Amino acid sequence: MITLAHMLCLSAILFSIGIYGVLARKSLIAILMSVELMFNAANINLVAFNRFLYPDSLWGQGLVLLVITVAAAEAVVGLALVIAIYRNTKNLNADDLHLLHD
Amino acid sequence: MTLPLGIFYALSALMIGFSLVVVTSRNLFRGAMCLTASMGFVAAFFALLGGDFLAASQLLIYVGGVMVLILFVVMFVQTPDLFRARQTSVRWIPALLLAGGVGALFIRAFCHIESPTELPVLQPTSTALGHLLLGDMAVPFEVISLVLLAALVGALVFGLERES
Amino acid sequence: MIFTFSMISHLFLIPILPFAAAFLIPIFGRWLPQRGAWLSIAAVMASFIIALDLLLRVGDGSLLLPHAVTPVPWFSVGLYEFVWGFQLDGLSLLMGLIVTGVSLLIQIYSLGYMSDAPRLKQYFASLSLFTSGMLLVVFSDNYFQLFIGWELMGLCSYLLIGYDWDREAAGKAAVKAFLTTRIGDLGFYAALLTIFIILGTFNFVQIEERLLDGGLSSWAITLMALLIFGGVVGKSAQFPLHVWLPDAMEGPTPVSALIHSATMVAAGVYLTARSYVLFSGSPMAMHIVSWVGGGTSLMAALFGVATRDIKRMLAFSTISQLGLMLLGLGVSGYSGSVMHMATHAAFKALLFLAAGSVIHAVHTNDIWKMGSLSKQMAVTFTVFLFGALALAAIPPFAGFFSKDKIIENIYLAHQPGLLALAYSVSGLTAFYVFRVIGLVFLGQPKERDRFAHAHESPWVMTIPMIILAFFAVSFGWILSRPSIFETFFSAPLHHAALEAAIPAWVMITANSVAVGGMGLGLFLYTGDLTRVESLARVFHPIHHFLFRQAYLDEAYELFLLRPVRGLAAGLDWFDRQIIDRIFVDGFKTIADELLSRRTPEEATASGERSGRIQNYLMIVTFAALVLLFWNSH
Repeated sequence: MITLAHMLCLSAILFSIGIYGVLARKSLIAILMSVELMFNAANINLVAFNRFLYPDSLWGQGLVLLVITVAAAEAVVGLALVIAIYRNTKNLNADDLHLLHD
Repeated sequence: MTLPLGIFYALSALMIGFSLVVVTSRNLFRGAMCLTASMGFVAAFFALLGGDFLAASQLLIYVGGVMVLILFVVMFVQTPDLFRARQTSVRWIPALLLAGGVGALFIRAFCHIESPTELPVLQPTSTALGHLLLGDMAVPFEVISLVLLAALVGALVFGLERES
Repeated sequence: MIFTFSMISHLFLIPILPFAAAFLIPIFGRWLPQRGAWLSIAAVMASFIIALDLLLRVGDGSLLLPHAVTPVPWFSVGLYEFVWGFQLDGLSLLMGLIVTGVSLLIQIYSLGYMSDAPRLKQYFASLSLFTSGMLLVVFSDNYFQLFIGWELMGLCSYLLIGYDWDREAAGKAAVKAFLTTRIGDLGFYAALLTIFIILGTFNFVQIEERLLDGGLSSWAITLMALLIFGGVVGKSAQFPLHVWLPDAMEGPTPVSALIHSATMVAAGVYLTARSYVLFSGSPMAMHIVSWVGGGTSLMAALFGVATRDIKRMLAFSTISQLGLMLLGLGVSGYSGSVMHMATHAAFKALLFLAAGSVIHAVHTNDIWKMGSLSKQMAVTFTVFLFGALALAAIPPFAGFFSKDKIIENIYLAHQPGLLALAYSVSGLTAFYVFRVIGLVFLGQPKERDRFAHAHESPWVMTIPMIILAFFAVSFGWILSRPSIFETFFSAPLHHAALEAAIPAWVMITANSVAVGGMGLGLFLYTGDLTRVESLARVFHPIHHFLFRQAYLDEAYELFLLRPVRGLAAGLDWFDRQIIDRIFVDGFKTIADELLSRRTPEEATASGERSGRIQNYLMIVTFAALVLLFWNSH
């Protein structure tokens, strides 16, 4: 019997894998992909809560649709930025992009 | 171990496996393909949880859209030698610790959560979702379309090759 | 132009139309004729027509004053509801007509005067915004809304004085005006709070009722009145907050005509008149009002005698006349002061516009460089003369009726000191304005070149002046007609009209003082100036003292501004050297050392700080982890 706990733990694992990717990867694209993983983990959470705790309503799924849309938009803009950075510096290593410092 | 539970464990093992490849592989292309697979499994889980429409949308949008985009970009910026370069930075130990810490905390919080035993039979959701999106959720729905518009314009602005 | 539907419900349109224009002009001005000037003029003309229609309705009896428009709810705090409310009574109708009329004429004049100026969109938008602010002050039915209009005018005054911001003097003058009136506004703000605490409402009618119910200590009433008077002192440029008005002449002349003679500075007097019920309840406040007004009046008149700038003369004159109006209000002479506010608007605006015409022609403000301009600029000379006669209160010009009413009221209040003050001011006023006429329009030209190039102004400038001149001549007489007088000038609380007999000597003295001043001014400053030169040598020290405005600006600089600047510099040092060093740089160093995996020596040696986003993200995740951990136990 699949319980809520199973789904939530699964999404927690996925989420932490995503965090590791964001913090430890060098390439910008790899970081973006890890962020997508985190989005998906959150989505699984939402659908699970919807199914187990509020089975009569569909708000969780509706919200997931919106989150997918926003994530897609964010991926698009992020990738456009990646391309722009690549064009300018030919380098996508996150460690080499430190214009924020003093 | 009932069949559904077994399937669940199998699917989740596969998904976690693919995700691990995403965050560790040197080859970005391989990572992207594994992410695609991972998304597919997420769609499977959606279906398992009664979100049939959602599973289809996930496949369409994420797999068919976002991942294709990422693959394009990967192929656009990668040179062959980069496929073999080390991809994980020196920070991997603190990152591992932090990620592990977050995961452990979440799991500890979640594993004793109460779950109802009697669940209603799964229904098709498309009609109901349609009513919801255009009814109670109409405002966020419209706002999201504006967000998409903004993202589109932004991406165009960044992506356009400047004639200079 | 009488509309068949009821315009009274459109009372709120009067302030709103110029307000809308003020926002449309910057947006659409590029495509509008004359960069939006016509839109601005159209808006204020529409407001004027509405006000005129209201006047006609009052005249034929179809509209009774006072009239209140149903308020529109705005927001509520606790049990009190803030509303947008408008009211119409004699005072506000009169002021509304004057403000829209004068604003209209001045904007038309500006078409000519500012024709080659840059940034016209900003100019007309600011003028419109200002007009709407003043109209909001005039038609509001509660103090809170009035304050909004009040502050709006302060902003526009800043924008318009500093219109020529390329000139440093203009910028500084704008800041000075804004800050000085701000100090007064603090008093007004405190008044708002006090009124609300003591009386529980901002609405004028309700306040009047509660004051008449009685039971308030005289200290409370005095406090409220004096705090309001603080705002008045700032806005109407009375001592000690008068220093901004002479410098405000750096702004374009039409701006001076509108803001600093006819309307904004009169808002202070309007506020006092509007709060008349409050002030009458406190004899001490009335006393202070009359003496501050009277003292300022005399001081400014003396300064006006010594100045050499034609606009400054008019600025001092404005301060002086406002002081006179406040003096009148302080001795319970409501009707005289309000009437003088009206006539002053007409003739002072006229004088400013004529001065602008002169400046436009000879390209200088210095009266010692002008001369004999009556020959080159007949129209300007004539209208300026009419304005001067009105200012000097020579019968039958406008100023005569109103100023004499004030003098009558002072006499009836049995205040010999103030009466003597008023007489002196009258004499000085006539003297300094005709001194200027003598030097500028009569006698011999002081600089041949300027004189030769001077020519009359175009009709777009002269027609508004002529219209105003008509009012300078006749307004006093018009306003004295009993029916009109009744409508506009009946004091609140229906004070019994002071019908006591005024001995003839009061009026005779007033008139002779005025005529004498005029005569002396003309005698000394026309034609042969040797008499003046010999006098100048004798009076030089006094003259110099007055020319420097009694060194008040310098005193403020020394005792007020320098200490404040020193304090600001000290606090800045403390912030930069101590707080920034410890808290900002310190934490940054710690974070960088922990995460960039370099030894501290390496990091400082290379001078490099991590700007890497993943480092920052790690800190964020760590913090989130800590929070989660903490909360989950």
